Amino acid sequence: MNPNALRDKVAIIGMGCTQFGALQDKSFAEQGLEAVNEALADAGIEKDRIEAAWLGTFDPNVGGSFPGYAGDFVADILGMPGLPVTRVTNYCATGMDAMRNAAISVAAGLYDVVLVLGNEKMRDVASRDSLIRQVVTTGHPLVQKGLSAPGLFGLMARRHMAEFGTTREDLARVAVKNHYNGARHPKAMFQKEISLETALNAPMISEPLGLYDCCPTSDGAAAAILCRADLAAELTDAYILIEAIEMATVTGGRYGRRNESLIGFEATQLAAKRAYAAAGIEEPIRAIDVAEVHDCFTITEILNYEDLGFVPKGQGAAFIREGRSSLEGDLPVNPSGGLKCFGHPIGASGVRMTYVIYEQLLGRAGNTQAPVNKNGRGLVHNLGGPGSVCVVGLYHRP
Amino acid sequence: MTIGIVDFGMYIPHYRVSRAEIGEAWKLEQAKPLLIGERAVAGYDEDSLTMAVEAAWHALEGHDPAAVDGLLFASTTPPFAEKSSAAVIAAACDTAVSRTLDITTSLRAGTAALGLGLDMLRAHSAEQVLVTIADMRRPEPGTLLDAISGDGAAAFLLGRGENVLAELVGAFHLSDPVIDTWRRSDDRYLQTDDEAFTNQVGYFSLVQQAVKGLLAETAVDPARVKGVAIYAPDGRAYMKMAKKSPLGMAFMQMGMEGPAPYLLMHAGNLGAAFAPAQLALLLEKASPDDYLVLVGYGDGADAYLFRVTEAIKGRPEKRPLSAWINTKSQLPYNLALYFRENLRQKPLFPPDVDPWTSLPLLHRERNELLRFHAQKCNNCGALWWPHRPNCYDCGEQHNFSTVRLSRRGTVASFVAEWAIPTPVPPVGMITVDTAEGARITNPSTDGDPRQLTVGDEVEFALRIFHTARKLPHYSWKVRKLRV
Repeated sequence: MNPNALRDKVAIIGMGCTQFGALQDKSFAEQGLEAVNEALADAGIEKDRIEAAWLGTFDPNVGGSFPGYAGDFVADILGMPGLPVTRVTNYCATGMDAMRNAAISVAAGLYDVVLVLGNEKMRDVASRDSLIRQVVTTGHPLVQKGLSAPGLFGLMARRHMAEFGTTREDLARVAVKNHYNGARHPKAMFQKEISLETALNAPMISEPLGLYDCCPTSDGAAAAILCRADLAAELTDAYILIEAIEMATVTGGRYGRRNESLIGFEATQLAAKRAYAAAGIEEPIRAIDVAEVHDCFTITEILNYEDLGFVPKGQGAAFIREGRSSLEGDLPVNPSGGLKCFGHPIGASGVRMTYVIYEQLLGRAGNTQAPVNKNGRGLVHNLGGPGSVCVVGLYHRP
Repeated sequence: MTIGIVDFGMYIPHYRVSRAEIGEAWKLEQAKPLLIGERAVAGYDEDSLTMAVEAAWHALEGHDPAAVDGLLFASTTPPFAEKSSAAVIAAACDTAVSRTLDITTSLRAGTAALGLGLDMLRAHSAEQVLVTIADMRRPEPGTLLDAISGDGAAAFLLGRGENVLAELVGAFHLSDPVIDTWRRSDDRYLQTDDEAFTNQVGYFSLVQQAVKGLLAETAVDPARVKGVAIYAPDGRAYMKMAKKSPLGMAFMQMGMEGPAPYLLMHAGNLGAAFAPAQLALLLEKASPDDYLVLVGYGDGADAYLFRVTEAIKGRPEKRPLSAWINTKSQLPYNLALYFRENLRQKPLFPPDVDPWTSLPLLHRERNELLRFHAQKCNNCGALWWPHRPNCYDCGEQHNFSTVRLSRRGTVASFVAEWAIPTPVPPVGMITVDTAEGARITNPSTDGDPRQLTVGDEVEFALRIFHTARKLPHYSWKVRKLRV
């Protein structure tokens, strides 16, 4: 493995992102095309420059029957016969895995300019009828039957609480911070702040996780235009570089494995270790200016602080309690509001997180701008499934 | 060679409905004297098959299930009209039996199965027979039978030789086409007619004849009989029977602490399992040389005389039968009605939501899903359930031995799921570290998972997970250890 194969060889020259939320007036195709057009306009190039594309979408059937099962969807919405398009699906890490594969193709010299589209539509159904239906109608008929997404992470929360004294209030603080940030981002799903009491008094979902510990199901799309780093300056004025995108998978049978700690995600630890090695990072807390991490549930963000090496294992709760991940903290985490407040259309999220870091590094983040004054470096962390698939990306200003 | 009972077990489900509440719901004013105590109600995920498995494992504890070579299941309420429950029970008990049989349709099924099991031993067609008896009768809501019935099970391991703790001394059988309760194949509820008449020409008459027949047959002095396990439709009939019986002395000695009043007060009339469960209660307190009588009733009567042996002192240690009575939680009557589909409620799921299932998968994994076998890596010792081709921990491929899980473990973590619809929310999802070293995450049953804490002792119970394609899917759920 060559950790430097990707380093600074690929630039992100344009990005687009739809409003996230319940996009009742937009079809899967409409929201996807909107994100692509915004990215093209941002890059200032014509669609004809796109030589290949990667479509990240987890399950177009979550919300009924949509196109998106295969790559032809992108050729269709762009009207570009002949475009090679790969569909990527890798649990909730789908978006960043699409980014990773697209970046590899450019770094390998196959293409000069490629498109990544993360697109998901989850709200064309009754609110309880998407992921819950999936839990019931798919999966093993007996083993772990009924284990939901919040259940998977609730099991981690319970164990983290038992071992380290993490409290529901600590979890609630993550939600409060992310709603504070999200309320300041115009494209976030929820445009409102919440109080600690609101979070704590919300109905329970997978106890100890309550409603405000859970990200919503959302519609949304985000797109990125990637190109060879040496062409970036010719094509556009403002761009960022990919330092590393590293991935790790571990067993999806984590909850049936006795040697699992249940207090952290090994996939995150391994992917982060590789990404830091590729970028020569030894102390993440000093080396990273701003991070978008996978806060599908509030506990996940606390575990991420630890697994990404911001703090030692067991001190994640203190990191939020002390305000170190807030916009004014020493490492602002999820300035966008994260999955919790920005929304989580599964396949779009990794690309959307990259969009937010792109904004941050280019100083375009408006009310959510974090002080980018260390190294001009941002981190994206995208976690999938029962914590079994993880992609960590590092981006920096040229 | 001595033939008889080698061990025994019982099972009473976790939920109880107060009889006073049932009486209040239906204004059963005239039956008030009988509306005391509680009725045991099988959970929404239980049936006679799963209750039989619970009692069977209680009896089997301390014995090798692989040595069992005959299994009988008796019930008036088998879950299948076609398909053998005994075959499923035999697998869930991890026996290697080749002879399984369901004995159904009569209240006397329990005592009939015991007799048949003993005959199998006598005929040398089996070495050890596991007799499982379970019932969840189908009274019409609002009837007295509804209040008095209870759900539960009993099981007996029958064998030969020095391990026999209660030796069969003799038996007497009667068959009679008398009309008592009945339910046609397509009827939803039990039918009864003139109960006074039925008790007189049916219950009292046949049971007395059987007891007299047994005493004549065995020539035992009635004064030597220490205990009587006897079917009775209700407490009133039991008292009347006790007064008139040639075994009056035994009834008197047992008094109100006797097994029948005890079960009626705390669980109810267990149908085909009622007299057998009483026998289990008597055996638990018995001493060597005690004589015990078992009388089953229904379309005739069966009477058995057992003599307790020295082997009773060597019975393996296991939870007391009273654990099933004393661990419980109250269930509102409306939910008891709902569990048995006697009350309409908005469906938990949209009608088109049916769990995915696959017959090839269920067959391929039958040893894990029913027999509860884990696999142990021969290289590093890691345990896995369900089975997999490789050891994830050390990478070894196809090199495992089989480990039967004891169905006990401790809580590694858990959540209480409010989002997943269930008749008694919240359902728990529990990560269990089994006693053997496997880790299993499966749903909880019986009671509020929020009462658990990390490190608590739990046990696995065979339950119905769902009925996709109208097929009950049985496997192991997690509940707090009932002791």
